[in-house]
Amino acid sequence: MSTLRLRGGRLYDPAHGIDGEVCDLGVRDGRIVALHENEPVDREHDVSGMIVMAGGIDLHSHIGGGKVNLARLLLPEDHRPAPRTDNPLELASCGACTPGTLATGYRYAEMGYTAAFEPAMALSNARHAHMEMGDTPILDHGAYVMLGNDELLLEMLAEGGDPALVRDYVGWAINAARAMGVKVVNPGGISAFKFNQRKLDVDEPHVQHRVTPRQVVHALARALTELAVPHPLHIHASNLGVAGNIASTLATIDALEGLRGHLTHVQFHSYGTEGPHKFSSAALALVEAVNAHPNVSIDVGQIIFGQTVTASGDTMTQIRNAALGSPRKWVGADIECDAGCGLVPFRYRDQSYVNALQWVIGLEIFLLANDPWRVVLTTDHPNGGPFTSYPHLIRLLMDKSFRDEQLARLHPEVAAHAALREIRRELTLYEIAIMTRAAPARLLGLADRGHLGVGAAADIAVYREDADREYMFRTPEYVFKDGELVARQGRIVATPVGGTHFVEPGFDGAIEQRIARYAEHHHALDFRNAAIGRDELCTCANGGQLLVTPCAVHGTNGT
Amino acid sequence: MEINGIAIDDTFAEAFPMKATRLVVTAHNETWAMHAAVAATGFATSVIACGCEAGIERHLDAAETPDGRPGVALLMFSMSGKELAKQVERRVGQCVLTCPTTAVYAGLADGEPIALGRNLRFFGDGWQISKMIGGVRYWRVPVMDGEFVAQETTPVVKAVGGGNLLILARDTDAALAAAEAAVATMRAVPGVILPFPGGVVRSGSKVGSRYKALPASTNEAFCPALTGLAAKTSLTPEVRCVMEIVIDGLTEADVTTATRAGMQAILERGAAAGVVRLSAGNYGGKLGPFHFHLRRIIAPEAAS
Amino acid sequence: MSAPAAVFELRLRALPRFRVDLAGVTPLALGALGEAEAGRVAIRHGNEALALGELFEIRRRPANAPALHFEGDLSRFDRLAWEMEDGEIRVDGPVGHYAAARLRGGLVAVAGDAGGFAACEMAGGELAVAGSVGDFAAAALPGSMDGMRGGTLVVRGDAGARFADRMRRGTAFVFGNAGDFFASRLVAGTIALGGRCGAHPGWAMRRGTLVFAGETPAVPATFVETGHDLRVIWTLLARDLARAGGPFTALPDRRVRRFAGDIAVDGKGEWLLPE
Repeated sequence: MSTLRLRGGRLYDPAHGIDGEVCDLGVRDGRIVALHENEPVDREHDVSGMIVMAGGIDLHSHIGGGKVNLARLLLPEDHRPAPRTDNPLELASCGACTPGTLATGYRYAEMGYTAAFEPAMALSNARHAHMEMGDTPILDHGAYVMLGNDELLLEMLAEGGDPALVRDYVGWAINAARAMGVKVVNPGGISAFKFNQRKLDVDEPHVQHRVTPRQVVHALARALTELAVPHPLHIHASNLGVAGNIASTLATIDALEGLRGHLTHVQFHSYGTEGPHKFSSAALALVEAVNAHPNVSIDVGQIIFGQTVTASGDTMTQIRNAALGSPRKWVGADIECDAGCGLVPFRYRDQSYVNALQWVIGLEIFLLANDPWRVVLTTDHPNGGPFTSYPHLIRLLMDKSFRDEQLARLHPEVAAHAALREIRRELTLYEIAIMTRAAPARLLGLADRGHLGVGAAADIAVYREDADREYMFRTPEYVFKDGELVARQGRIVATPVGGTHFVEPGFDGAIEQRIARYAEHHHALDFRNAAIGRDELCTCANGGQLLVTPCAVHGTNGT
Repeated sequence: MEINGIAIDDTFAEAFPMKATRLVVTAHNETWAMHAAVAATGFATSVIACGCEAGIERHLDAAETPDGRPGVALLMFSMSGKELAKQVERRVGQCVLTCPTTAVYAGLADGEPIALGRNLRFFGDGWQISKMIGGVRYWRVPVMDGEFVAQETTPVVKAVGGGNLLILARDTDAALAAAEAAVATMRAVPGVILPFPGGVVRSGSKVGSRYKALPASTNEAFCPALTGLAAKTSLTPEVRCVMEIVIDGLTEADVTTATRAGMQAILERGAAAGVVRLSAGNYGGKLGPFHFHLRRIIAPEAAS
Repeated sequence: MSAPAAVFELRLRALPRFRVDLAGVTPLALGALGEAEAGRVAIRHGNEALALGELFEIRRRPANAPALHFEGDLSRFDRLAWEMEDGEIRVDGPVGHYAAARLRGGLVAVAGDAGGFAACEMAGGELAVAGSVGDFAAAALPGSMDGMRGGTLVVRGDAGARFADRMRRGTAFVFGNAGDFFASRLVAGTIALGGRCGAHPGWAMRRGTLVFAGETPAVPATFVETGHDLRVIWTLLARDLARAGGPFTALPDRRVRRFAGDIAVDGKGEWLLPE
């Protein structure tokens, strides 16, 4: 038994409506508990004047799986200039936009994040994804399995899409991949790409299966609802990056027909066609739709200027982007026709009209959305920029004058006309705590994470108050993972193994016959090896805890 | 001053700054190198209407050229580097690139580079090849006899144009013979060309004209036909024919050396050969920064 | 006026236990320092930092040009002259990997062998290796788009595999033999080989020139002979290469055949095969 008390901190715990209240926080055996004021503790830290939040949760960050590894292979130069640490606790690992597994864990933890979720796990490559995440120290992790471009699902939909059949297949896939949810990437479009379609709008039929993205989105959303999976369908909508794609994004929301859906990296999906360059911000239209649809949540996918690599399951988009790559090289891959994969190095430039506008659109979405509980802070690491730029992003959101300074440096046409200039809103610490902790935890159905209530896991970040929010969020004074101090003033002091989050929805096992039959005909992998067992997951996850989030009988969005 | 019975006027040739480059044209044999060189330096007597003044500086043995083939050194002069670049591109493009077996190289080591093969390479339509050899870039353009090789750039240097020598003689035979003798020795001087036909010009000019369109016109002071008519003449009645040798050189010293060589050749032949006086053309010394005083050139210690 | 230049003589005390990273130890960087200061310069030894003076006995003497003279077996020392801008480094024995990698100027002379990636991504200056070099000399670092892009590499011994992979500019000589995939994916530049080479020379080369002064390799089907008169460019090139001496001395007197390719990748490079 070990106890810990953080004395005198200012707590921001939006899940309990606590907005900067000064009070002590007690921890026993890795869980937050109510300690009597005079109860002796093993360790006590005086954190008076400091800001105490739950550990950060990144619900969309590409940190594991084939794609991430291919990105590292593609950009070894990303790993060359990394400064070598003098911290003996840190094993050799480097990289900025494609960090190694170890560096990923260290860098997240030292800025107060304690969990991250890989959004694009290929079903056939789930083991690899879990192994990489298992190799990532400190962080809890989980992943969403990619469905919606797999031939079997499209076949089912082409046959009429019996909801029970789709539900059981989705349920089987989530269990087999040990996933936390389901992500659909360019619904049907990656498959359509393989049939030589180079674009697929929401109501455009797949040339082979005659299925539309609208059908795919709806069928998956319905299946997840019926399976009571807490995290809503994670949707990378159609036509990513294309001018005018706001229409596709709104049509995708429409396709949900009120079912829950999480639109991811919406910045890349909120483009209009106005103005001299036929490329404009549709942030307002997007935000109005989100505000009007309580069933919809979003994460932003803010871009950050500089070098990164775009890593996506969306082969259709990445083929198009390959010509814009810098440095000019790219990788595409596919396993078992499950989904797709494309990696294109990219340098976002503030003097590029398009990039500058993307930057503005992301911030406009953050600042115009009126319900922070449905908005999650992401850069779609590494697509918009590496996760290490979160502190910078937080400062942009909290500091109008800093934001204006950055805005003034952009491409002059953007700097002069962006609606962002007129937005005075500065997010509060409470709102930041929602967007980086409380909301993602709630959207994932994590009952004991993302808040500081009694019984919650003691994942805690303590920040020293500083007017420079970037500095403040980059270098927390203390970071605790399950009650263990893991980082002190930006330096890793312990490297425990993180746990794996997943869900185990029930489904009718009869579906396995059909899947087995399909696999036998079409797959290289033996169906009997498709599902990852619990013991195997434990091995993959480096012996970390298995954290099962229950699927409620009646899934609600919890707000 | 008088040497061997020939008077030397106390005057000077007035010359101007120009921009110049030297090209080395080689070919399978001397004949084809000469064909290219003659064509490339043709119609280049005066910048007034030719764009440049150009000439053959000398022949080069196979041992002297970069590619071990016989060649010719050319000098080209223009009033500006930009105009020179234009002339080099046109002349090399039309007269060297086209001429069987030729290659072209820069003939100067230092100076501001202008394009030589850099733009001509596009004749290769994508098949051209760049090759860096010893820090120098060459372009290889596939042509019907093999490859046209051209150095990428040629350096341009500041040079001197418009040095001159006037030969005042008793008759046409004497004037031509003297001019030919002078040209023969002057052409042996490195770094200079005599841009006019045969190295000699008979239409010496002055600045301006009574006709607005003309920037220059006949220099009546040296026209024997006008000795008794013109308001101002530089001739005496026994002078019945005048020839001029115009000299462009890479340096002031080169022009001096060439002028001296020409004067000496004429003076050695003596007054009996029919030359009465040597003189030079100038504009009063106000226009050109380079002054070549004939007396100082022929007898540096005697003149004061 | 700049500080007077100095020559540092660095005599290796004993073979280090782990590999040592010499990046940053350049004539210009040390030039401004005194003997004792130079001894305190931190370098990486395995996973720890170490003072230069712990590995080397250092003597400094004034000179006209900045230089470092290493004495001893430097085969565990990597990144000698890494990104060096100017000056001279001489090593009287072998060196480790990445010797003169990303070199930008100056001269690096190695009396022994050099490890892998010698002169890789070198952009200027000269590396002269009296012994042999490992794989990927004059090539690109993993993931980079271009290999050597300027300067001169002279290898008097043999070269390993993938010599000049993705090389873009400059001139490289191998007096001895070269390994497999000699000049693979060559983008441009000139390479002269004195001995023989392994399998797949010039594989997927786009442009550039390979001069096989030694054993004539079998010409793959993806290279085509061009029968034209190329005496002009050959004279220019051969005369320049002949200055390197050794097997290249007689090049100007030899007649040459030319093959172009690799047409499998629409390449317009050339093989020059002296007879």
